[in-house]
Order: sequence, then structure tokens, then C-alpha cells
Amino acid sequence: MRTYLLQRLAQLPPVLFFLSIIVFAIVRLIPGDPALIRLGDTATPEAVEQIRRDMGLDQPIPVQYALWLGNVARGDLGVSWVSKKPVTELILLKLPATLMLTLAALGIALLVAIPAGILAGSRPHSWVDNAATTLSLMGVAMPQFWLGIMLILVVAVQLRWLPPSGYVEPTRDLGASLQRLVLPALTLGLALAAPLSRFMRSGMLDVMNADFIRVARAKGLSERAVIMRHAVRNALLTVVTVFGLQFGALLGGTIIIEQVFNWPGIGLMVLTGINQRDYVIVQGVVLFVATGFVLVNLLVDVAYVYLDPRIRY
Amino acid sequence: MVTAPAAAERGGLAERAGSAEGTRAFLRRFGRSRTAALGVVIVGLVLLGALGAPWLAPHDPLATRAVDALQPPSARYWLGTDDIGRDILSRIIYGSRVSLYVGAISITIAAGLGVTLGLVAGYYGRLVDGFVMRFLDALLAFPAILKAIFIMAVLGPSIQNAMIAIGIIYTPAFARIVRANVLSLKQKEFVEAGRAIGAGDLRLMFRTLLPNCLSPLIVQASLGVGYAVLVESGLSFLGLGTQPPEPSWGSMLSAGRSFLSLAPWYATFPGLAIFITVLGLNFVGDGLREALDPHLRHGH
Repeated sequence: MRTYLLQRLAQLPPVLFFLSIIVFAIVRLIPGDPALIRLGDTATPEAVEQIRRDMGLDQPIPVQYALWLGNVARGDLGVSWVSKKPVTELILLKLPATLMLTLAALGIALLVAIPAGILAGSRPHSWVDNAATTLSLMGVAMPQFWLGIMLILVVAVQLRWLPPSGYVEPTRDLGASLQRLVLPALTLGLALAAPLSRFMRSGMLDVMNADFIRVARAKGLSERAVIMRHAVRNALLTVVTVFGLQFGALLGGTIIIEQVFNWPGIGLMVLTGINQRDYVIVQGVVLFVATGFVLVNLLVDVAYVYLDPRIRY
Repeated sequence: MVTAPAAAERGGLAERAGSAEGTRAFLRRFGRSRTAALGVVIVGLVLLGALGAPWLAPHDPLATRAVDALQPPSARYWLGTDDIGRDILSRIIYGSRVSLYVGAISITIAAGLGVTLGLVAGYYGRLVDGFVMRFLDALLAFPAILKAIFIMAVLGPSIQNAMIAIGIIYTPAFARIVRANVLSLKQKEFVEAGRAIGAGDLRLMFRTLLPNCLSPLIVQASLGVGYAVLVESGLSFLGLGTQPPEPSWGSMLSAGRSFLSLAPWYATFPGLAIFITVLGLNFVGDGLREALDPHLRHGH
């Protein structure tokens, strides 16, 4: 176990190094001079040159990368060229909204996926299994942004049960905040539940054929006890892995849903940063999101070893 | 004693003799799945629409008529019109061309890049494998839509660049499948036999190992086209994919969002088109996986 942990930790630096290069390189490849974009077309060449020097863009690319990486290692993601605020501060400002949406969506996903997967996996090839499989295939095929728009159309526009979009800080008005959370969380949660339920089903099918399940039945346990006390716990292992990966992916992958519901999360920060050629924001946020994903991945792998004592790497 | 050329020849002979029988068995298994059959019907209809668009579309998808703006579904405009009077049904039919075209080309790009990376990583192993896998891990650390936006920001918004972006995003999926297969296959007798008769690395990778990875690759490609259609529509929704006035399901959905209370059909039907197409492709992919993967045939 310790060897495995050390091996995984040793893999982190090269992955993060590649990450930083990819982020830095791609941002630099985005066309358009940030200095010119900031000053506008009427700016004099001297003014543009001065802004480029202030932004550090007059340095060779490797020097810019080294300076940026050095700052990142000290926890300094830079200062936004547009808003003049530290990127770390801006991320911390938007992070609560992203985490709120992510956790709510994952909660809904688990509430839907686990029972569906248990039902489908414990009754293979029955109508329940076929229905659950078909529904999950439909969930995987459905564009999230279309589902969100349809939910807005039915729930907000036609039934007027909930507001269509927007965000209110929970500390300001919890009721209004939760009302605005429902539709985007439901959209994301149902989309996540589809693949999650398939993994749960697959895990159940693997476990239900195991010897220890036969033993449990032979001991006279009810089918319900066999499933809930023995099968589910073991089937959940794969779901834990996928769940962790989904959490990591959601950190920066909710851009379209944020756009649909006007939700001020980290994803929209990146889109705005790209449009404004605010390299510092884009680099900082994307590196933050990607690093978060890599770390969550590592935590999931470690958790997997603890949850299943049979696993020995 | 089995000689190397004999082993290689035997492997090839057995494969040729079994391939016709194997194909029949595969078709039987695929045909038994009702969802796979439904998927074939759906994809067939979408393909028909894409190929026959000039004859099937009732109106010019680019023709605007201000007087007919935001018309509900009627005998004249079966699915209604958009905010500048264009027929939504015609634009959906022409939009299927964009979706299937982007899907096919982007998955071809992903397969080309991914298969090469996977073969090289799996075959050479050690440092090369470590380098490739860490690079792929770094690529996979970004959410797909973020990667797509990044690449589109660099290349510029267009259909061609959307294909490249989606191709790059989906490359790791192919690379991992091929690598996993090559790692288990390269120790087998027929590969040793090939090496013994003097086959070079390239020949072994592409002529010996790659054909044995085809089944999972076919499944991945089928599922990948559905994924590519989803991502392309997402990029078009954000204004980064297909550019107006070219009809694209994603951009139609994005425009329709502004008229939800006035003209709900505007956003409903393009989204339904994306959903049904991707569903059909996923049904086909799932059917292929069940027909090709022996483990899945026994209850999974």
C-alpha cells in the first residue's frame, strides 16, 4: 500500500509538469494580442509596447513560462489583466457557486443512480433491467444543455414553479438560493446519473455471481438482506471511482450549464477570460481545475485500496 | 516442434478459415438485440436525411421570410420557423449533414492519432509508455468541453477546427484501448513468431498487433461518433463550432433559448434531433459491444 502511494505520488510531478506546459502553450497560441485588445485599435504603438512590457509579454516564451511557473509554485496565480484582482481571489469568489452546484448535482446523481443500478443488477434481463438500461442510454445521449432548456421551459416558463436562472448566495437568502439551484443541479445530476447507474448495474452483476453471495443465500438470508448487506457494498467500489472522476470533471466542466442558467461558476470565468484574452485568468483557472482533477483522481485511487482490502498494487 | 513461420502461418490460416463463420455469428448476435436494430434504423434515417437533404428538405434552409418569423408548426412549416422566418425542419435536415460529417471525420482523426500513440506506448513499453501515458493523463485532466474551447480559441471557430478539436479530445480513448490490448498481446506466440521470421517493429505493430485490436476499436468508434455529435453541438451552442448562417443543431438550440416563452418549438426540435441521433449511435455501439465482447455476452 505504501509503495503504491509513493508510486502514485511520484507520478504527480511529471503529470503536473505536462499540465502546466499544455496550459501555458495553448493560452499563448490563442490568436490576438492581449495588449492591443486591452487598449483598442486606436492605441499608439508606443502605448501597446508599454502594456506588453507591463504584462511581461516582451520576454521570450521560455522566460515567461519559467516566471509563471515559479509564481505558481509559490501559490501566486497572477493578477487579472482586466479586473486587476489576484486570480486566486477571483477563483475563491467563484468556487462556492461551483462547489454548490457540483455537490448538489452529484447528490442527485447518487440518489437516482444507486437504486436504479441495484434494481437493474439484481434482476438481470428482466423488464426492470431493460427499462433501467434504456433510460440510462437515453440519459447518456441527451445533450445536457437541451435538458436544461427543456426543464426551464416546463418548470419555469410554463408551470412557473421555479425561477429560470440566476444565483443567490446562500448566506444572503437560503430559500431563494436553493430555488435557483434546483434546475441546474437537476440537469447536471440526471446527466451524471445515466453512466453512474450503468456502472452500479455492472458492479451488481459481477458481485451477484460471487461465491460469498451463494454462501449468504445458503445461510438462509432473505434476498433483500443478501443484496443490501453484501452485494451493494461490494458493487459500490466501481461507483466510487467513477463518482470521484465525475467530481473532478465537474469542477471546470459545467461551462455550458453555467451559460444556460446564468450560474457564476469557474467555467464561465474561463470563457470570459478567453474572449478578453486575459491569459492570466485562463492559465490560473485551468491549472487550478486540472490540478484539482488530478488530486481527486489520486484520492479516489487511494480510497479504493482502503475500501477493498483485496486490492494490492 | 513448431517453427516460427509455421506458427505465424497457422495463426493466419486459422483466422481466414474462421472469419466467415465469425462474421455470421457476429451478425446473428448483433441482430438479436432489439435496441441495436432500433439504433441501425435511427442512424439509417439520419444518414438518409443527410444524403438526401436537397430532395427531402421542403424549403431552402437559408431562405429568410420576416413575415413568417416564429411561426408554430403548421401544414406549411411542419416544425415551425425561427426568428427570421427560416423553416426549422429544413434546417434540421441540413444540420444532420454537419453533425454526421463532423462525427465521422473527428473520430477518424482521433483513431489515427490514438491508435498510433497506443501502439507505440504498448509495444515499446517502459520509458516510452511512461511518457505517452503521463502525457495522456495530463490531457485527460481537463474536462472535455474546456479542452474543446481551448483548441477552438487557438484555431478559430469553424466546422473544420471543431473536427480537429474533437479528434484531439477523443484521442486518449483510442490510445488507452490499443495500449491495453497491445500490452496483453505482445507476449503471445504469434507475435514472437513474427519477430522470429524477421518482421520489423512497424510491421509487427500495424500488421500483426493492430488487427487483433479491431473489435474494441470498432465499438469505441461507434460510441465516439455519438460523443462527437454531442460535443460539436455543444461548441455550436457556445458559438464556437459551425458559424451562422450554416444550419447546425447546437446553434439553433442556442438561438431558440431566447424565444422559449414565445416559440418553444424553436429550441425543442433541434435538441430532439441531437438526442435521437446520439441515442441511435449509442444503441448501435452498445449492440456492437455485446456482439463482439465475449464477457458481456454472459449477462453483463
